[in-house]
Amino acid sequence: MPPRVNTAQRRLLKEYQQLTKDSPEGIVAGPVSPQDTPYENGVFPARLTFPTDYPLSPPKLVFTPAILHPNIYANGEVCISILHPPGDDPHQYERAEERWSPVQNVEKILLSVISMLSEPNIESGANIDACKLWRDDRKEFERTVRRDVRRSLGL
Amino acid sequence: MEEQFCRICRGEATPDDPLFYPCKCRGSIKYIHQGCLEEWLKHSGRDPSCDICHVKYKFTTQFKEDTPDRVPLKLIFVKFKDTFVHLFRYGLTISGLLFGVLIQIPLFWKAASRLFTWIIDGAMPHEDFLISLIYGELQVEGDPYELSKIASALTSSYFDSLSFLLTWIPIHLILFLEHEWVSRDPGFKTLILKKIGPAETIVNVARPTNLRHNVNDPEYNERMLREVQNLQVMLENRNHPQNQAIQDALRVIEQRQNALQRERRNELRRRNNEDELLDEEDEDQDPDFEPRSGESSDNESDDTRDEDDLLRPERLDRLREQMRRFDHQIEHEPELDDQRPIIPFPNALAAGPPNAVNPRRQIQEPIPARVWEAFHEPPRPNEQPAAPNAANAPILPNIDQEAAAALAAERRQAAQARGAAAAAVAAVPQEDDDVLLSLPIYMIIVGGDAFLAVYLFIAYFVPSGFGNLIFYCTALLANGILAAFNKFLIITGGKEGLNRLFDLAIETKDKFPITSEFIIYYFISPVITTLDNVYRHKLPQSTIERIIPLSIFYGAIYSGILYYLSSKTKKHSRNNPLLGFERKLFVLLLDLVCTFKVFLIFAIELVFFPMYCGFLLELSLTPIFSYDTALILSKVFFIKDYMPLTFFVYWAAGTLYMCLFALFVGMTRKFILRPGVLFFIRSPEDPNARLIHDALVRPFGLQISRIALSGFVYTLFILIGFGAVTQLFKLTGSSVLPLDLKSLSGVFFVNFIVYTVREQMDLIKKYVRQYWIRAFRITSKKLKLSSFILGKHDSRERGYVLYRNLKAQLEGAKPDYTEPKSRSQAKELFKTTDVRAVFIPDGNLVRAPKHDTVSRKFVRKLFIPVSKDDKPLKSINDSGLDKVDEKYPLDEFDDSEDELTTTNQYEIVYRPPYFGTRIVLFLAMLWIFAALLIVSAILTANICGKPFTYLIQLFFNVTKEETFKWSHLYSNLGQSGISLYQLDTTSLAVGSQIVIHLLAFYDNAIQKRHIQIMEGEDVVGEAGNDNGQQEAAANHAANEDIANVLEQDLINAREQLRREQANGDNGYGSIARDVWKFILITGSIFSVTAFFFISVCINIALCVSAHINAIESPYRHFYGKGEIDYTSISFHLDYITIPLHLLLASFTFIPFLMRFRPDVSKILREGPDEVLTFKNVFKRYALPIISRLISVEMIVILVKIGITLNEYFEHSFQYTSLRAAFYYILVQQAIYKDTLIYLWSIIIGINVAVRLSFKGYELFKKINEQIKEEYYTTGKTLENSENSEETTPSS
Repeated sequence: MPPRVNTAQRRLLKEYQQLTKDSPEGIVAGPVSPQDTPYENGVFPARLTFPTDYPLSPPKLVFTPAILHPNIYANGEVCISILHPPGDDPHQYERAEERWSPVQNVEKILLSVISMLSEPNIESGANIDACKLWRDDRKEFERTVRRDVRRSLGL
Repeated sequence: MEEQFCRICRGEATPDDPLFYPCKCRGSIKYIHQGCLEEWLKHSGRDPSCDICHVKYKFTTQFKEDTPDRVPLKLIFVKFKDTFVHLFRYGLTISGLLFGVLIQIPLFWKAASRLFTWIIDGAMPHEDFLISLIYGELQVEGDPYELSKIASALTSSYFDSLSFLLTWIPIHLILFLEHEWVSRDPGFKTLILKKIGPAETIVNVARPTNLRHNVNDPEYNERMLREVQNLQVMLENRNHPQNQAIQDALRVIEQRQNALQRERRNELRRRNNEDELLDEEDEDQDPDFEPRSGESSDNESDDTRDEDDLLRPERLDRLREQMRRFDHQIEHEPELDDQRPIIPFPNALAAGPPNAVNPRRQIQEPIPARVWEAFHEPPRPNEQPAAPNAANAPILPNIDQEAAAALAAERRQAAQARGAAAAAVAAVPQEDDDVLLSLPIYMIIVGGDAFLAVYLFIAYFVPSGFGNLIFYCTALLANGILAAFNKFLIITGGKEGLNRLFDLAIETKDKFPITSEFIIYYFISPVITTLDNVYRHKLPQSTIERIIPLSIFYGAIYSGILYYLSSKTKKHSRNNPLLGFERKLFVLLLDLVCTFKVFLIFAIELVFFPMYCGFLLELSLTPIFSYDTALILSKVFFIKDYMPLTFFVYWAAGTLYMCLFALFVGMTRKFILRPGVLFFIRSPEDPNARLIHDALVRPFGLQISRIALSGFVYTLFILIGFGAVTQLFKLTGSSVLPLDLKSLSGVFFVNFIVYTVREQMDLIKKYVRQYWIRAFRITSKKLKLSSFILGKHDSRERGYVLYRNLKAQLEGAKPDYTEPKSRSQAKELFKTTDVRAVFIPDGNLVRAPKHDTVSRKFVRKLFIPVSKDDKPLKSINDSGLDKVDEKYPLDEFDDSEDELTTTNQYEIVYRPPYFGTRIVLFLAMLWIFAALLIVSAILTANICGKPFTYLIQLFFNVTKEETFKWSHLYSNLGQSGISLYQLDTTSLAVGSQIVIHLLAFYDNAIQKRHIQIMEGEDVVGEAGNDNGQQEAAANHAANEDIANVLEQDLINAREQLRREQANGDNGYGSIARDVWKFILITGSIFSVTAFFFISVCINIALCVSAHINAIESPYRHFYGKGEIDYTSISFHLDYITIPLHLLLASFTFIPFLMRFRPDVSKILREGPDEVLTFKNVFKRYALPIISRLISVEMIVILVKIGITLNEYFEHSFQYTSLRAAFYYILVQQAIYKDTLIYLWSIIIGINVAVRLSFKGYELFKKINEQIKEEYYTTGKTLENSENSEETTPSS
């Protein structure tokens, strides 16, 4: 078996093909912010960084600029289980099935992000300030997010 | 049907690479390429199972089409040969190495040291060189070349040298380790700073080359700041002639600081922007972005380039920006190389591999649409990673040329390095087989020998020679001086006086002939002889005579070093530092001296001190074992003949004692004492306890005096604490001691004790702790020390009660504590009123440390009498507070200076009068409590275990009898010779088990009772105030540990109680049921244990009987060596029987031990629960007995019966009855004895042969499979999951 040096590229192209040919609901050119949440109507640029050994290792998703969310680090990096490589979870918060495996793909990641935006997971928060705000002062949280949304739209 | 593609790479099936469906997943993730799967498994490093449906992947081995069912013999032979050759070569290498290192090195050491000794002596012990080398100082009689003599001489030399090396190599290792610790200790740096001042001078700091360091290095920046501060201090302190230079340097540094800050700001800004190129991973992998890139060329620049240098951060930023652009360009054109034109070549990207240097960036760029089509091309193999290089530069017009070149060069190097590494990795497995062989054994040996020779030369030869020289010169000088003195006396007439002195001395000697003889014989003459021998160098010299010159030399060197260090320390200071080469030398020597000091202190603390304690322990505990001797170890077999072992036993015992003592102190500190009482003993949890640091920094004399003090305390504790108790037993002639060691069967039960103690550790701890809490409370209450020791302030303790008369005292009249009176007032009161008792306060309040971690300086201010509101009663007098501290003044090495955390708080406690006496009494009472606890525990355990010992004794006595009679049972009871009170190991072992279990049972019951009480009163919080354990818990509510455990216990027990009450039970019923349960459980444990024990015994007996009946007995018979005496079985071992026994053992003892040993270790590790079940014991121990009985014993008996029947029916006229025939043939073995004696061998032989053939067949099958795997396989294929409705995709 020759080494599959360009598996990553080939697979990404395949996924791209798949996405354009048969895009899942809610994704046109990118994920649409879920409705009925403060993130509604927002346009949040994000960058997916794929490692060389993709799909063996998960990609990294970073919102540029960062947005306020309990599961997004202050530097914009998204912290959800599907983006975590299997086997290096010291606290056993997440089950192995929830983590990255080559079966996952960009589409799943984007869907997970949409779900994350509408339902933050406070238990494994990445941004403690956002967690606190979300838990203690939901109104303020939503106001801040809406402000970010407006800013993202250039309003 | 949907398109089929691989779940990992999303590729379709190709003829070369079909798709499989190995797991139960269906739909879009059904299929997978084998290669992709293997890669993923390798990457994730997990079990080969699907991470979604968890079905295990199955691989089938693919065999060639012509694979035979049975492999040709030739291949088997080849396989054997290969294995053998491999093993042989391997063994040869290993044994060569072992010989070279383990055998050769000690012998070489001995030979080399002998050679050096002869050179020093100028003579050899024997005339012949070779003989001298072999025999050394040993005398030879007869033929010196006799092999056996040479062998014995070599062996003794070898072990001599080996024991020497085994002592010295660890010492050297420890020295090295301590050197590492010492030189890394911050205290060492402080020491240097204080002795010879800082290393950096103004000139050094100002030199701009020093500035050229990584600006991102926070440590470096810290240091820079410190240096600037230093400089400023220096400037303020003195008027240096180079003031101008300093100013310049300061200016340079300030500019530098500004630059640093700018750099930091930039860094911050960059981080905020969160540029991906500089994220964590990139920094790990791409050193290009470190600002170092331009550094190498700058390194040699001088002051003129300072300006440029200072601007560097900005320049670096610029460079970095350019590089970034450069990288982007490279990524767009990754296929550029030397030959190709410098035009973008888009299609190549598709086929090319990702850029190996920085692939992530390439992928994260949007993929251009034009490369779409190219993706269906198969990948080109052997595609090299694109290495951008200097040739790229022309197409990047706006880049800094220099930087680009440097960058490209670095990348090339990195790529090459990676390539080389990969090649190396690839090369290693191929040489795997020969790695050991290729190790240059001879090089190791020669190198080791050369090292040893050089070491001996430096560490032994030179010092010995010089030492001798020094000794000789000193002696000559002394002789000369004496002669001169003699002459001087003669001239001045003082000779007379001297003669008179001599006469007086002789007279005195004659007056006390015995004493003087003793002194001369044991003290004076050996010293004189030794010194004389060293002086004349009389051969052969003893070890001491060899050591004297060595120690003279080393002592001289050491004192020389000390002198040098002290002279340098005097000359230099913080303001006048020592620099340059001398500084290095100074640091080196100081390191040496400090290491030696630390080593010495550690050796005393960790080796000699425990040994001393061990010796004291032996002295005090000997009466436990024997009344007849003072030191027990001198009587113990094996230990008494081997000195080092004695020392080891001392050391082990002493260390154990010290550990236990430390545990006890830790327990009292944690649970009982007021924090701060033990401020003078460092707690192991104290963050300030830095062993190396303390040993290094504190003055040697102070440390030795502290060790001596604790030695004194330990001596008292051991001699009085243990010795007094044992001596008490000895002097009263009690029958309790000495311990009866005859009943060694107790050793068998020690295993279970270890297990039980470990299991019930918490319980034992709990009760022991309670005992001590009580003991401390009672003792300190009686001695009025509660406030000081326990921190429980009871105003009633702050004085004494004066009674009106004895009657009032006897009746326990209570005084009015709220109205304390003085003594005279009390007298007055007695006269005027009818008050029966008056409370008279005494003693005073003092400040005492509130925590154990107080600094020494602070402690000196404490312990002054104060009033209730913390006003000192006397003015604080600072002088003469502490004698020790005067002797070792608190100079720069005060603890408080470098202690990490100190909580210098004090609290006010009551100190009664005669405080010292009270403390001594307190310790004495604690000792009584300790003795009570230990002695009563031992005696109780002993008495509890006695009945069991009786039973065991009985069993052994009965089995000793040749014929069994029930009457023996009764007669044995009377004469078992066990005293009821004497300690013996079996009783202790069994009894302690019983005691612990009873304690657990009691614990259980008492807790239940408490809950009942609490349920009744419905009070939860303050329940059980009358009970010790609850009270203890309340006292130490802060200690969550106990509280939690208790709480949990309470909850559990309450739950159980509720359940029982629901069943209509009252409390007494539950206790009765507990007793019943206890009996049941104990009974089942006992019966399983007995079953296990008996099965094991029978197993062993059967094993032994097989060896006796099948080998020993026929052997004796065959060689006419008499018959087996079954009372004392012995085996003849020679070249015939040993192989036979070994062969048989692999069917008897070895399988048994293979079962027994893991079980025993499991029992010890996890407890008997799992192993000691009826099922397990039956399967593992009883079944083998049954199979053995059927396969051997039954056959033997059947054959014997057959022979007897045959005999009876053939010669029936000879026997009165069948019974008589059986008796005659079987029991008396009157006939056929010569034949029947081989019956066992034959049957066991057949048995063994059958088993062996089965095993052989299995082995053959295994080898067959292995060879098939090796020679006939083509690879492994994934197996598709079975219950699939679809067919495999066409390839």
